[in-house]
Amino acid sequence: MPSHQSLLLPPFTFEVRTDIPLVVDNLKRLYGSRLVDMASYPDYFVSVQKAEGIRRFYRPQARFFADQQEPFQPLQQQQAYAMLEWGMNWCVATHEMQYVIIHAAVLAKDNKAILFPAPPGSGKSTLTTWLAFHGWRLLSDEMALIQPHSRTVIPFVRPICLKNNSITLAKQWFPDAIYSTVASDTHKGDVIHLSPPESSWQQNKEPAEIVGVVFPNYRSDTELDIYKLDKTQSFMQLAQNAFNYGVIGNDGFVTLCQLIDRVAGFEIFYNDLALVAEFLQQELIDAGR
Amino acid sequence: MQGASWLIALIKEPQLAATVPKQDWVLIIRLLRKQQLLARYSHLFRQAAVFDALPAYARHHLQNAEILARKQCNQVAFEASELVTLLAPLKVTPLFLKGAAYSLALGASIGQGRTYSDIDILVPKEAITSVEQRLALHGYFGEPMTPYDQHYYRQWTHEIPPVRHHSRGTIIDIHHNLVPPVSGRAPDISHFLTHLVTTEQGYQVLTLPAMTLHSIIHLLFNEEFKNGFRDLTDLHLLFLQFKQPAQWDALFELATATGFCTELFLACRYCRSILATAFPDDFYQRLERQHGVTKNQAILDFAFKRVLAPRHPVTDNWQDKLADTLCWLRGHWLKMPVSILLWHLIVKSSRGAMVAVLGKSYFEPERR
Amino acid sequence: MLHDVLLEHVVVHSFSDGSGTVFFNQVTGETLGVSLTAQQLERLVSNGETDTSVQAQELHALSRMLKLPSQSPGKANA
Repeated sequence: MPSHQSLLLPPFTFEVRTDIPLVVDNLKRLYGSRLVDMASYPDYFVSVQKAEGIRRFYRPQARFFADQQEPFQPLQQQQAYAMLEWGMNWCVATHEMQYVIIHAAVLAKDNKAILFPAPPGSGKSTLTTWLAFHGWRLLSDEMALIQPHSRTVIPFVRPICLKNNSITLAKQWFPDAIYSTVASDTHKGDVIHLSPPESSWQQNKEPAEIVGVVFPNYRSDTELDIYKLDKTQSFMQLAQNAFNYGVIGNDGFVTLCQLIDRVAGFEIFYNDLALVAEFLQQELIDAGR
Repeated sequence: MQGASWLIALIKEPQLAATVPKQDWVLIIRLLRKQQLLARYSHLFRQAAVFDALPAYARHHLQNAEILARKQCNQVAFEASELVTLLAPLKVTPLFLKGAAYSLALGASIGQGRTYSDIDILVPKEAITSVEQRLALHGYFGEPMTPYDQHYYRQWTHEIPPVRHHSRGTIIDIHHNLVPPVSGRAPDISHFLTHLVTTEQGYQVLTLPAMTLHSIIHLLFNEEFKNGFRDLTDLHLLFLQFKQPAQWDALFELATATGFCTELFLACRYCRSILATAFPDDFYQRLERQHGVTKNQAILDFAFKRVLAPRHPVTDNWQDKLADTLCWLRGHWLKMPVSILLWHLIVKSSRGAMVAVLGKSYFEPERR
Repeated sequence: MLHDVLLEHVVVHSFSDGSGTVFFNQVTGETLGVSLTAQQLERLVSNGETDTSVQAQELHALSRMLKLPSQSPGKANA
């Protein structure tokens, strides 16, 4: 029973085909009403399919396609849903050149947004989850889409990707939230996707203004240490996490320079999420009032 | 009109873009992306001053491709100057071919919006090893490939396995001929080497007629036509650049001297029938007289008109697939003496069976 | 002016807090940040002087973005 549906994920629309029941189930659970029968203007045509051959039976595999392109090696079929999520990120990261795209989580309060750029292992997604379920609006878990020559960030609301230990933590904290099945032993370890709160989904067309850039580092032995970064340091760290700024050229460079000139940059080391939230609220959200 | 017909109509008359029903853009954009033609069409629409009249959906995807193409165009100039500098101590001046040459020499016309994944250069055969070693010293390394493919490249083809710059990711294809020598059709390369020009920025490329013939050989002396339509539009745009009778004569004479008259004839025939490309009457008649239609012409027409059309699996029918097979067989037949052909097919096909049984990843060398 | 000595395709920005300057090569995509202000860089470029110690390798990195006056590595280290 191959499934052929569309995902309305502003600012993009994906047409998704799959013959893997696991993928269909996860899509329905996590995306809810964003999964529709057929949308009129799909931007990307993606599919996850069972691999052919003996691999159908012996350690079955799944393959991801962006239309006719296959950017990844096949993965185990139990990882197919995670593969689809990564594949959709791949489409945006390699094709979309009219936003400056940063590998960062984006959370907002009162339409004031904070960017959390971070390499894997920094605890970014745990922080994202905690904030998203404590009154902050999730704009994105992986990709900040910044309007060139502005501080405006466009939401691209998608499920949050949790890894390894953070899976247990999230399930303890928010047992009623909607989780995907586990994709085990991926290149990132065990991975699960978590649907953000309905309020974040509902505001997925509402841009926000960036007021700060915070580089998170989880440290089990540190409640909260905060270091204010100078602007040169902030810029260099931000540029390292940029997907397409080398391609889009001067517009990307100028956008990031102007952004850094106008907002504060911090690096934080933490294990106490409530303290982090308090700091963000006071230092970045209330400061502009 | 359907998606594929739109692609053909729009290259002939870009201003028609303003009349395309909004819903049709979905398939048009999809086909253009598959053929790597988004940026080229975008440029055509701008030239015809219709770009701004297009629906936001179309403009969005066209503009993304334009930005990528612009970056590539800037980068190729940089990469080319790196290569020239690197090879200078060897007294080797690389000859830039195909996509890179279009950007370097014809940036205002065919080069505009033309995208490609690697930079093709031609160097003297005796310099190949020293070129490969010097590039390796400066960070260009071969990609992992199966021992069989390595062997095939080295033994039978007109190029060596591509090398990739370790940090910038640029891929360089190094050729010593334009056609695999094993085919027995490899031209005496010196015929081409009398048709060289140096661009204003100092890069060595083929003259317009020689560049066009190379493009023709590359398209028609081949077994795969993944970007068949894209390559046909290359030819169409190259032919549009011909301004003087002497250029048509040069094209005809070079094709005759190198033994690629059939390919020239077929290229002109399909450019004319598919894209309505205009040719001088005396040139075309001379070509027809010299070559003439063969008794297999109907089969060739059936096959080539399909493989050179803007294709996509969502619109393919059984005739399209048959055409692919016919052209694939013909391409292999042209390129290899029979014994090697059989051997190559056997190896490819037993590999095919293994892939079918074990999955594609079985053969793919681990990538970083 | 700093802008006059940039290599081709290189753009530059000095930050408002005086923490430093970043360069971007629009062709290679290469980015470089240094903790020197525009004024410090201008002095370095015009007469090879700087009040912070600039290491040879930093000078080498800068030479990919700027036309620097030629000087011996020994002097740069001093």
